[in-house]
Amino acid sequence: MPVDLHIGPDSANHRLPHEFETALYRITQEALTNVARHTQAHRVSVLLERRPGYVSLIVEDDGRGFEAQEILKAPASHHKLGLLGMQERAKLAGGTLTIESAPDVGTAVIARLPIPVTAAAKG
Amino acid sequence: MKKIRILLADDHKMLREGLRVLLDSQTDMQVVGEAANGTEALQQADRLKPNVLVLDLSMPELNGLQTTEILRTRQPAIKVVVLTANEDESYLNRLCQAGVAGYVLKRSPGEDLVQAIRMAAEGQVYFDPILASKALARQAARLTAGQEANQTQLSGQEKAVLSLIAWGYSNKEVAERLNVSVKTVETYRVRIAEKLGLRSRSQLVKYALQQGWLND
Repeated sequence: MPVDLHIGPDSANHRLPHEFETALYRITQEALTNVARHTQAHRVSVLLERRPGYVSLIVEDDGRGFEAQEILKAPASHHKLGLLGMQERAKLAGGTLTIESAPDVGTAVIARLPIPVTAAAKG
Repeated sequence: MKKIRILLADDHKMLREGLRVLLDSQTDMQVVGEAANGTEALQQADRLKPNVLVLDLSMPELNGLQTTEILRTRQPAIKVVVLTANEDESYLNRLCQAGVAGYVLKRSPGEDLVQAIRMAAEGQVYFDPILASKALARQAARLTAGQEANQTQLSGQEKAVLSLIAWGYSNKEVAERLNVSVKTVETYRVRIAEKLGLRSRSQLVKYALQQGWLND
């Protein structure tokens, strides 16, 4: 499946604190695994950009989508645990993770992690 | 040295005679036959198997374009150099599609035709430089105009949705900012994708960057 990668100019040149990079990496990994396993998507976009005060990571596919709320309410499944795991990682880094999905529209995983003051000063 | 064998097709006898003198005086060329119209040119081409056919565009019976199209299917090895007073670029495009190897204007000096024949015989192409550069400039202008037309196809609301999505907002956030429903945003996105042929969010971002919509 083709992955359209977009990395903003600021993100490519500046390192983030180790735990942020790890969080972003794990979220990307989990999101892509979900896309491959559950979505029947034809394409997936991965976008990493630095915005004022935060880093934005988006993994969006054009697959069959799902009712995110339904899955999160349902009893434990691998899929649900994967979604919860991503949210947990974002939360631990002080950020947010939104999953937006609708049947036949696709799924977007949108993570925003605040850039720590020191990293922002360095960057 | 093996000479380039040339067939001349023009309905003006005096012009053919003049061309024959010019081309036969080249050490590497030999006029092997003449034809006064397109039908005759095809018959002579079949019989004489020249390397190059020098073809007047406006001739009775079959005109130069029709002759070229038929000859290219029947005898693809024979190169066609068109000789014409016609400076219409649309004609040039059609002849290119038909596969001519050269396009020389009758008002040009004879050495242009000589050069065109040599290049054609070597498998290259020669187009009158002034005409070719005009045609290319026109083509470039058409392409640019096409891109602008594409862009104006997006409504203001669609441009707003595209910019916000490209910035990294979720559908819900876009809906809130534009005061519409999430369903509406989804519909806009499908329409934008169809209009611009962009299939993913990354492609939308690249497009928005190209348009300068993300510079704030």
